[in-house]
Amino acid sequence: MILSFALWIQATGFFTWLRGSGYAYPIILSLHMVTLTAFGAMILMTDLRLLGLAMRTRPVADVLDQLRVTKRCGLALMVTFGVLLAGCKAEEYYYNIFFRLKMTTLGLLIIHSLTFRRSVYRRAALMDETGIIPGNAKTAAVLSLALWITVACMGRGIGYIEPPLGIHAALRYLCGGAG
Amino acid sequence: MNDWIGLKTAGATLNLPITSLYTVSLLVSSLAPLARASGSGAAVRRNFPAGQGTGCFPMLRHGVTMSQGLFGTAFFTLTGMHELHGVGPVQPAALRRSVAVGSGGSPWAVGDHSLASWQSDTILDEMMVYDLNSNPLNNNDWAFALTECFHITAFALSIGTIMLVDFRLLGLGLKHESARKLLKDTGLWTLAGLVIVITSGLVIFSSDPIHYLYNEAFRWKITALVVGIIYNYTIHRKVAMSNFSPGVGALTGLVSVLIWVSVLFGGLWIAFV
Repeated sequence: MILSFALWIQATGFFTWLRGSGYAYPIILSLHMVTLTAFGAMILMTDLRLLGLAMRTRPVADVLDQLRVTKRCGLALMVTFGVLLAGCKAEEYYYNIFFRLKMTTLGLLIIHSLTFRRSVYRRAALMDETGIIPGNAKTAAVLSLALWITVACMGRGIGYIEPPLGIHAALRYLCGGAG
Repeated sequence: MNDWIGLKTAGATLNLPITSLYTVSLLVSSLAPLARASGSGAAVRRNFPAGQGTGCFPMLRHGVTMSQGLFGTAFFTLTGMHELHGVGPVQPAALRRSVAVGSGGSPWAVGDHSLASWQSDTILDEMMVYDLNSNPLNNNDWAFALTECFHITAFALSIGTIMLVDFRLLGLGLKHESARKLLKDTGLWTLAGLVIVITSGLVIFSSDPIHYLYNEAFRWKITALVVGIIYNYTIHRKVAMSNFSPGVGALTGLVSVLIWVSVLFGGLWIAFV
Protein backbone atom coordinates (compact mmCIF):
# COMPACT_ATOMS: atom_id res chain seq x y z
CA MET A 1 0.00 0.00 0.00
CA ILE A 2 2.80 2.40 0.89
CA LEU A 3 4.60 1.36 -2.27
CA SER A 4 1.57 2.03 -4.45
CA PHE A 5 1.20 5.44 -2.80
CA ALA A 6 4.89 6.11 -3.51
CA LEU A 7 4.42 5.10 -7.14
CA TRP A 8 1.36 7.30 -7.48
CA ILE A 9 2.85 10.40 -5.87
CA GLN A 10 6.07 10.35 -7.87
CA ALA A 11 4.06 9.94 -11.06
CA THR A 12 1.98 13.07 -10.44
CA GLY A 13 2.63 15.92 -12.84
CA PHE A 14 4.21 18.15 -10.25
CA PHE A 15 6.77 15.66 -8.98
CA THR A 16 7.58 14.47 -12.48
CA TRP A 17 8.36 18.07 -13.38
CA LEU A 18 10.37 18.64 -10.18
CA ARG A 19 12.41 15.48 -10.72
CA GLY A 20 13.38 16.52 -14.21
CA SER A 21 13.92 20.21 -13.50
CA GLY A 22 17.49 21.35 -13.74
CA TYR A 23 17.47 23.87 -10.92
CA ALA A 24 14.35 23.40 -8.77
CA TYR A 25 15.53 20.14 -7.21
CA PRO A 26 18.97 21.34 -6.01
CA ILE A 27 17.41 24.62 -4.84
CA ILE A 28 14.91 22.74 -2.67
CA LEU A 29 17.68 20.47 -1.42
CA SER A 30 19.73 23.54 -0.47
CA LEU A 31 16.74 25.14 1.27
CA HIS A 32 16.23 21.89 3.16
CA MET A 33 19.85 22.27 4.38
CA VAL A 34 19.37 25.97 5.22
CA THR A 35 16.32 25.21 7.36
CA LEU A 36 18.18 22.28 8.91
CA THR A 37 20.94 24.69 9.90
CA ALA A 38 18.69 27.38 11.36
CA PHE A 39 16.18 24.99 12.95
CA GLY A 40 18.99 22.76 14.19
CA ALA A 41 20.59 25.66 16.04
CA MET A 42 17.30 26.43 17.81
CA ILE A 43 16.93 22.82 18.96
CA LEU A 44 20.57 22.83 19.97
CA MET A 45 20.28 25.97 22.09
CA THR A 46 17.09 24.69 23.75
CA ASP A 47 18.69 21.37 24.61
CA LEU A 48 21.94 22.98 25.74
CA ARG A 49 19.93 25.33 27.97
CA LEU A 50 18.14 22.36 29.53
CA LEU A 51 21.51 20.72 30.08
CA GLY A 52 22.77 23.92 31.70
CA LEU A 53 25.50 24.33 29.10
CA ALA A 54 24.37 27.47 27.26
CA MET A 55 22.49 30.69 28.03
CA ARG A 56 22.62 29.85 31.71
CA THR A 57 21.77 33.37 32.80
CA ARG A 58 18.45 33.28 30.92
CA PRO A 59 15.39 31.60 32.47
CA VAL A 60 14.62 28.24 30.85
CA ALA A 61 11.02 29.31 30.26
CA ASP A 62 12.18 32.42 28.42
CA VAL A 63 14.41 30.44 26.04
CA LEU A 64 11.67 27.86 25.35
CA ASP A 65 8.89 30.42 24.91
CA GLN A 66 10.84 32.72 22.62
CA LEU A 67 11.94 29.93 20.33
CA ARG A 68 8.62 28.08 20.23
CA VAL A 69 7.09 29.93 17.28
CA THR A 70 10.28 30.21 15.19
CA LYS A 71 11.00 26.54 15.85
CA ARG A 72 7.56 25.55 14.61
CA CYS A 73 7.97 27.68 11.51
CA GLY A 74 11.41 26.17 10.91
CA LEU A 75 10.10 22.64 11.35
CA ALA A 76 7.16 23.30 9.01
CA LEU A 77 9.50 24.65 6.30
CA MET A 78 11.99 21.81 6.74
CA VAL A 79 9.24 19.17 6.53
CA THR A 80 7.74 20.88 3.48
CA PHE A 81 11.06 20.86 1.61
CA GLY A 82 11.65 17.30 2.79
CA VAL A 83 8.29 16.12 1.43
CA LEU A 84 9.03 17.82 -1.89
CA LEU A 85 12.37 16.00 -2.09
CA ALA A 86 10.95 12.65 -1.06
CA GLY A 87 8.02 12.92 -3.47
CA CYS A 88 10.44 13.15 -6.40
CA LYS A 89 12.02 9.80 -5.67
CA ALA A 90 9.31 8.16 -3.58
CA GLU A 91 9.74 4.72 -5.08
CA GLU A 92 13.49 4.42 -4.65
CA TYR A 93 13.25 5.96 -1.18
CA TYR A 94 10.70 3.33 -0.25
CA TYR A 95 13.50 0.77 -0.63
CA ASN A 96 16.20 3.01 0.82
CA ILE A 97 17.32 1.73 4.23
CA PHE A 98 18.51 5.16 5.36
CA PHE A 99 15.22 6.77 4.39
CA ARG A 100 13.39 4.13 6.44
CA LEU A 101 15.71 4.70 9.39
CA LYS A 102 15.23 8.46 9.08
CA MET A 103 11.44 8.11 9.09
CA THR A 104 11.68 5.75 12.08
CA THR A 105 13.82 8.28 13.96
CA LEU A 106 11.33 11.04 13.12
CA GLY A 107 8.63 8.75 14.51
CA LEU A 108 10.67 8.40 17.71
CA LEU A 109 10.90 12.19 17.86
CA ILE A 110 7.11 12.46 17.74
CA ILE A 111 6.95 10.00 20.64
CA HIS A 112 9.64 12.07 22.36
CA SER A 113 7.63 15.27 22.09
CA LEU A 114 4.43 13.57 23.26
CA THR A 115 6.25 12.00 26.20
CA PHE A 116 8.09 15.06 27.42
CA ARG A 117 5.68 17.84 26.46
CA ARG A 118 3.89 17.82 29.78
CA SER A 119 6.60 16.60 32.08
CA VAL A 120 9.37 18.83 30.75
CA TYR A 121 8.54 21.48 28.18
CA ARG A 122 5.46 22.83 29.96
CA ARG A 123 7.25 22.91 33.29
CA ALA A 124 9.99 25.34 32.42
CA ALA A 125 8.62 28.01 34.77
CA LEU A 126 8.83 25.58 37.67
CA MET A 127 12.49 24.86 36.84
CA ASP A 128 13.21 28.59 36.99
CA GLU A 129 11.41 28.94 40.34
CA THR A 130 13.29 26.11 41.99
CA GLY A 131 16.51 26.71 40.07
CA ILE A 132 16.81 22.98 39.51
CA ILE A 133 16.64 21.26 36.16
CA PRO A 134 15.24 17.79 36.91
CA GLY A 135 16.76 14.59 35.59
CA ASN A 136 13.97 13.89 33.13
CA ALA A 137 14.49 17.30 31.51
CA LYS A 138 18.15 16.48 30.96
CA THR A 139 17.19 13.05 29.62
CA ALA A 140 14.77 14.73 27.23
CA ALA A 141 17.51 17.11 26.05
CA VAL A 142 20.09 14.37 25.49
CA LEU A 143 17.55 12.19 23.65
CA SER A 144 16.47 15.12 21.51
CA LEU A 145 20.08 15.90 20.53
CA ALA A 146 20.85 12.25 19.79
CA LEU A 147 17.69 11.73 17.72
CA TRP A 148 18.10 14.92 15.67
CA ILE A 149 21.76 14.16 14.94
CA THR A 150 20.64 10.69 13.83
CA VAL A 151 18.02 12.25 11.55
CA ALA A 152 20.64 14.50 9.94
CA CYS A 153 23.11 11.63 9.45
CA MET A 154 20.47 9.25 8.08
CA GLY A 155 19.38 12.03 5.75
CA ARG A 156 22.87 12.20 4.32
CA GLY A 157 22.96 8.42 4.15
CA ILE A 158 19.96 8.38 1.79
CA GLY A 159 22.15 9.77 -0.97
CA TYR A 160 24.63 6.92 -0.69
CA ILE A 161 22.21 4.17 -1.63
CA GLU A 162 22.15 3.17 -5.26
CA PRO A 163 18.54 3.08 -6.41
CA PRO A 164 17.14 -0.38 -7.13
CA LEU A 165 16.02 -1.13 -10.64
CA GLY A 166 12.40 -0.26 -10.00
CA ILE A 167 10.13 1.51 -12.42
CA HIS A 168 11.47 4.96 -11.68
CA ALA A 169 15.08 3.88 -11.88
CA ALA A 170 14.41 1.98 -15.11
CA LEU A 171 12.64 5.00 -16.58
CA ARG A 172 15.52 7.21 -15.66
CA TYR A 173 17.88 4.76 -17.29
CA LEU A 174 15.79 4.65 -20.47
CA CYS A 175 15.38 8.42 -20.61
CA GLY A 176 19.10 8.97 -20.36
CA GLY A 177 19.54 10.13 -16.81
CA ALA A 178 17.21 13.14 -16.54
CA GLY A 179 16.78 14.00 -12.88
CA MET B 1 36.38 50.80 20.54
CA ASN B 2 38.60 53.38 18.79
CA ASP B 3 41.00 50.58 18.09
CA TRP B 4 38.49 48.13 16.68
CA ILE B 5 40.83 47.14 13.89
CA GLY B 6 43.24 46.25 16.69
CA LEU B 7 46.47 47.49 15.13
CA LYS B 8 47.41 49.56 18.18
CA THR B 9 47.08 46.59 20.52
CA ALA B 10 48.91 44.37 18.08
CA GLY B 11 51.72 46.91 17.64
CA ALA B 12 52.16 47.14 21.37
CA THR B 13 52.06 43.36 21.80
CA LEU B 14 54.08 41.98 18.92
CA ASN B 15 57.75 41.35 19.32
CA LEU B 16 58.81 42.75 15.97
CA PRO B 17 62.23 41.06 15.54
CA ILE B 18 60.80 37.62 16.45
CA THR B 19 57.75 38.21 14.26
CA SER B 20 59.96 39.12 11.33
CA LEU B 21 61.93 35.94 11.87
CA TYR B 22 58.71 33.89 11.86
CA THR B 23 57.52 35.65 8.74
CA VAL B 24 60.74 34.78 6.95
CA SER B 25 60.48 31.16 8.17
CA LEU B 26 56.89 31.05 7.04
CA LEU B 27 57.79 32.22 3.56
CA VAL B 28 60.72 29.81 3.43
CA SER B 29 58.37 27.00 4.44
CA SER B 30 56.55 27.57 1.15
CA LEU B 31 59.59 25.95 -0.38
CA ALA B 32 58.82 22.78 1.60
CA PRO B 33 57.75 20.87 -1.54
CA LEU B 34 61.28 21.39 -2.85
CA ALA B 35 62.88 20.71 0.52
CA ARG B 36 61.00 17.45 0.71
CA ALA B 37 63.18 16.04 -2.00
CA SER B 38 66.21 16.47 0.25
CA GLY B 39 64.40 15.01 3.25
CA SER B 40 64.11 18.18 5.30
CA GLY B 41 60.40 18.65 4.62
CA ALA B 42 59.36 16.42 7.51
CA ALA B 43 61.54 18.43 9.88
CA VAL B 44 59.86 21.62 8.75
CA ARG B 45 56.46 20.07 9.34
CA ARG B 46 57.40 18.76 12.77
CA ASN B 47 58.77 22.04 14.08
CA PHE B 48 56.15 24.18 12.46
CA PRO B 49 53.33 23.91 15.08
CA ALA B 50 55.79 24.76 17.84
CA GLY B 51 56.94 27.87 16.03
CA GLN B 52 53.39 28.96 15.35
CA GLY B 53 52.35 28.22 18.93
CA THR B 54 55.01 30.52 20.34
CA GLY B 55 53.63 33.18 18.02
CA CYS B 56 49.97 32.71 18.97
CA PHE B 57 50.09 32.27 22.73
CA PRO B 58 51.63 35.65 23.65
CA MET B 59 48.95 37.30 21.47
CA LEU B 60 46.18 35.40 23.25
CA ARG B 61 47.72 36.25 26.62
CA HIS B 62 47.55 39.94 25.79
CA GLY B 63 43.92 39.69 24.77
CA VAL B 64 44.42 39.65 21.00
CA THR B 65 41.85 36.99 20.13
CA MET B 66 39.96 36.04 17.03
CA SER B 67 37.08 38.27 18.00
CA GLN B 68 39.20 41.17 19.18
CA GLY B 69 39.00 43.08 15.92
CA LEU B 70 39.94 42.98 12.26
CA PHE B 71 43.59 42.31 13.08
CA GLY B 72 42.83 39.46 15.47
CA THR B 73 40.35 37.91 13.07
CA ALA B 74 42.67 38.13 10.10
CA PHE B 75 45.62 36.86 12.13
CA PHE B 76 43.91 33.84 13.63
CA THR B 77 41.91 32.93 10.54
CA LEU B 78 45.05 32.94 8.43
CA THR B 79 47.36 31.28 10.95
CA GLY B 80 44.63 28.75 11.79
CA MET B 81 44.17 27.87 8.13
CA HIS B 82 47.93 27.76 7.68
CA GLU B 83 48.32 25.55 10.73
CA LEU B 84 45.72 23.09 9.45
CA HIS B 85 47.38 23.17 6.06
CA GLY B 86 50.75 22.52 7.67
CA VAL B 87 49.83 19.62 9.91
CA GLY B 88 46.52 18.52 8.46
CA PRO B 89 45.67 16.11 5.67
CA VAL B 90 45.94 18.60 2.82
CA GLN B 91 49.69 18.85 3.00
CA PRO B 92 50.51 15.16 2.72
CA ALA B 93 47.84 14.94 0.06
CA ALA B 94 49.53 17.59 -2.02
CA LEU B 95 53.01 16.33 -1.47
CA ARG B 96 52.79 12.58 -1.70
CA ARG B 97 54.41 12.61 -5.06
CA SER B 98 56.54 9.55 -4.64
CA VAL B 99 53.52 7.35 -3.89
CA ALA B 100 51.81 8.20 -7.11
CA VAL B 101 54.66 8.55 -9.53
CA GLY B 102 54.66 5.52 -11.72
CA SER B 103 51.11 4.50 -10.82
CA GLY B 104 50.10 5.00 -14.42
CA GLY B 105 47.57 7.33 -16.01
CA SER B 106 45.53 9.46 -13.66
CA PRO B 107 41.81 8.69 -13.95
CA TRP B 108 41.00 12.28 -13.05
CA ALA B 109 43.24 14.26 -15.35
CA VAL B 110 41.79 17.65 -16.12
CA GLY B 111 42.02 19.68 -19.27
CA ASP B 112 41.20 23.13 -17.93
CA HIS B 113 44.22 24.96 -16.60
CA SER B 114 42.58 28.28 -15.68
CA LEU B 115 43.28 27.47 -12.03
CA ALA B 116 46.99 27.80 -12.62
CA SER B 117 46.56 31.57 -12.45
CA TRP B 118 46.53 31.34 -8.68
CA GLN B 119 48.14 27.98 -8.03
CA SER B 120 51.70 27.41 -9.06
CA ASP B 121 52.11 24.76 -11.73
CA THR B 122 54.46 22.79 -9.52
CA ILE B 123 51.98 22.37 -6.65
CA LEU B 124 49.21 21.62 -9.11
CA ASP B 125 51.26 18.98 -10.86
CA GLU B 126 52.06 17.37 -7.55
CA MET B 127 48.41 17.33 -6.53
CA MET B 128 47.47 15.79 -9.84
CA VAL B 129 49.72 12.82 -9.29
CA TYR B 130 48.60 12.24 -5.69
CA ASP B 131 47.19 8.74 -5.52
CA LEU B 132 43.58 9.13 -4.40
CA ASN B 133 43.41 5.48 -3.39
CA SER B 134 45.93 6.12 -0.65
CA ASN B 135 43.37 8.31 1.16
CA PRO B 136 41.30 6.39 3.76
CA LEU B 137 38.27 8.38 2.61
CA ASN B 138 38.51 6.67 -0.76
CA ASN B 139 39.31 3.12 0.27
CA ASN B 140 36.99 2.73 3.25
CA ASP B 141 33.24 2.32 2.90
CA TRP B 142 32.33 4.47 5.88
CA ALA B 143 35.06 7.09 6.28
CA PHE B 144 33.72 9.58 3.74
CA ALA B 145 30.10 9.29 4.85
CA LEU B 146 31.00 9.67 8.52
CA THR B 147 33.16 12.72 7.84
CA GLU B 148 30.25 14.24 5.95
CA CYS B 149 27.95 13.56 8.90
CA PHE B 150 30.26 15.56 11.17
CA HIS B 151 30.44 18.29 8.54
CA ILE B 152 26.66 18.55 8.14
CA THR B 153 25.56 18.29 11.76
CA ALA B 154 28.08 20.98 12.69
CA PHE B 155 26.27 23.39 10.32
CA ALA B 156 23.73 23.92 13.06
CA LEU B 157 26.47 24.57 15.60
CA SER B 158 28.43 27.01 13.45
CA ILE B 159 26.21 28.72 10.89
CA GLY B 160 23.03 28.01 12.86
CA THR B 161 24.18 29.84 15.97
CA ILE B 162 25.33 32.78 13.85
CA MET B 163 21.84 32.79 12.29
CA LEU B 164 20.28 32.94 15.77
CA VAL B 165 22.10 36.25 16.24
CA ASP B 166 21.04 37.31 12.72
CA PHE B 167 17.41 36.59 13.56
CA ARG B 168 17.80 38.64 16.72
CA LEU B 169 19.24 41.53 14.66
CA LEU B 170 16.21 41.18 12.38
CA GLY B 171 13.93 41.29 15.43
CA LEU B 172 13.00 37.59 15.32
CA GLY B 173 13.43 34.68 17.70
CA LEU B 174 15.23 35.39 20.97
CA LYS B 175 13.94 38.95 21.25
CA HIS B 176 14.04 39.32 25.03
CA GLU B 177 17.78 38.95 24.98
CA SER B 178 20.05 41.74 23.76
CA ALA B 179 22.06 40.90 20.64
CA ARG B 180 25.20 41.60 22.66
CA LYS B 181 24.23 39.01 25.27
CA LEU B 182 23.12 36.48 22.66
CA LEU B 183 26.41 36.88 20.82
CA LYS B 184 28.33 36.19 24.03
CA ASP B 185 26.12 33.17 24.79
CA THR B 186 26.52 31.61 21.36
CA GLY B 187 30.06 32.79 20.48
CA LEU B 188 31.94 29.81 21.86
CA TRP B 189 29.54 27.32 20.27
CA THR B 190 29.89 29.11 16.95
CA LEU B 191 33.67 28.91 17.16
CA ALA B 192 33.55 25.21 18.11
CA GLY B 193 31.20 24.60 15.18
CA LEU B 194 33.45 26.46 12.74
CA VAL B 195 36.44 24.41 13.87
CA ILE B 196 34.51 21.14 13.29
CA VAL B 197 33.11 22.30 9.95
CA ILE B 198 36.47 23.52 8.61
CA THR B 199 38.45 20.53 9.88
CA SER B 200 35.99 17.98 8.48
CA GLY B 201 35.75 20.09 5.31
CA LEU B 202 39.51 19.92 4.80
CA VAL B 203 39.40 16.15 5.28
CA ILE B 204 36.65 15.88 2.64
CA PHE B 205 38.65 18.19 0.37
CA SER B 206 41.67 15.89 0.63
CA SER B 207 39.65 13.05 -0.90
CA ASP B 208 39.91 14.67 -4.32
CA PRO B 209 41.63 18.10 -4.22
CA ILE B 210 41.75 18.76 -7.95
CA HIS B 211 38.10 17.86 -8.42
CA TYR B 212 37.14 20.42 -5.80
CA LEU B 213 39.57 23.11 -6.94
CA TYR B 214 38.12 22.99 -10.45
CA ASN B 215 34.54 22.92 -9.16
CA GLU B 216 32.92 26.34 -9.66
CA ALA B 217 30.50 25.75 -6.77
CA PHE B 218 33.33 24.84 -4.43
CA ARG B 219 35.24 28.01 -5.27
CA TRP B 220 32.10 30.07 -4.75
CA LYS B 221 31.51 28.35 -1.43
CA ILE B 222 35.04 28.89 -0.14
CA THR B 223 34.98 32.55 -1.17
CA ALA B 224 31.65 33.03 0.60
CA LEU B 225 32.99 31.15 3.64
CA VAL B 226 36.05 33.41 3.98
CA VAL B 227 33.88 36.51 3.47
CA GLY B 228 31.39 35.10 6.01
CA ILE B 229 34.01 34.43 8.69
CA ILE B 230 35.61 37.86 8.31
CA TYR B 231 32.20 39.56 8.23
CA ASN B 232 31.06 37.62 11.28
CA TYR B 233 34.00 38.63 13.43
CA THR B 234 34.14 42.26 12.28
CA ILE B 235 31.03 44.12 11.10
CA HIS B 236 28.49 41.58 12.39
CA ARG B 237 30.13 41.46 15.81
CA LYS B 238 30.64 45.21 16.01
CA VAL B 239 26.97 45.90 15.25
CA ALA B 240 25.66 43.18 17.59
CA MET B 241 27.80 44.59 20.42
CA SER B 242 26.58 48.16 19.86
CA ASN B 243 23.29 49.94 20.49
CA PHE B 244 22.26 49.57 16.88
CA SER B 245 19.21 51.14 15.31
CA PRO B 246 16.62 48.65 13.98
CA GLY B 247 17.52 49.47 10.38
CA VAL B 248 21.24 48.90 10.83
CA GLY B 249 20.55 45.72 12.80
CA ALA B 250 18.21 44.33 10.16
CA LEU B 251 20.62 45.14 7.34
CA THR B 252 23.56 43.53 9.17
CA GLY B 253 21.51 40.42 9.99
CA LEU B 254 20.15 40.14 6.46
CA VAL B 255 23.61 40.40 4.87
CA SER B 256 24.87 37.73 7.26
CA VAL B 257 21.97 35.38 6.48
CA LEU B 258 22.54 35.88 2.75
CA ILE B 259 26.29 35.16 3.01
CA TRP B 260 25.76 31.96 5.01
CA VAL B 261 22.87 30.78 2.84
CA SER B 262 25.15 31.20 -0.18
CA VAL B 263 27.81 29.12 1.57
CA LEU B 264 25.25 26.33 2.09
CA PHE B 265 23.96 26.62 -1.49
CA GLY B 266 27.53 26.52 -2.80
CA GLY B 267 28.22 23.37 -0.79
CA LEU B 268 25.15 21.59 -2.10
CA TRP B 269 25.86 22.75 -5.65
CA ILE B 270 29.27 21.03 -5.69
CA ALA B 271 27.42 17.81 -6.48
CA PHE B 272 25.33 19.40 -9.23
CA VAL B 273 27.88 21.21 -11.42
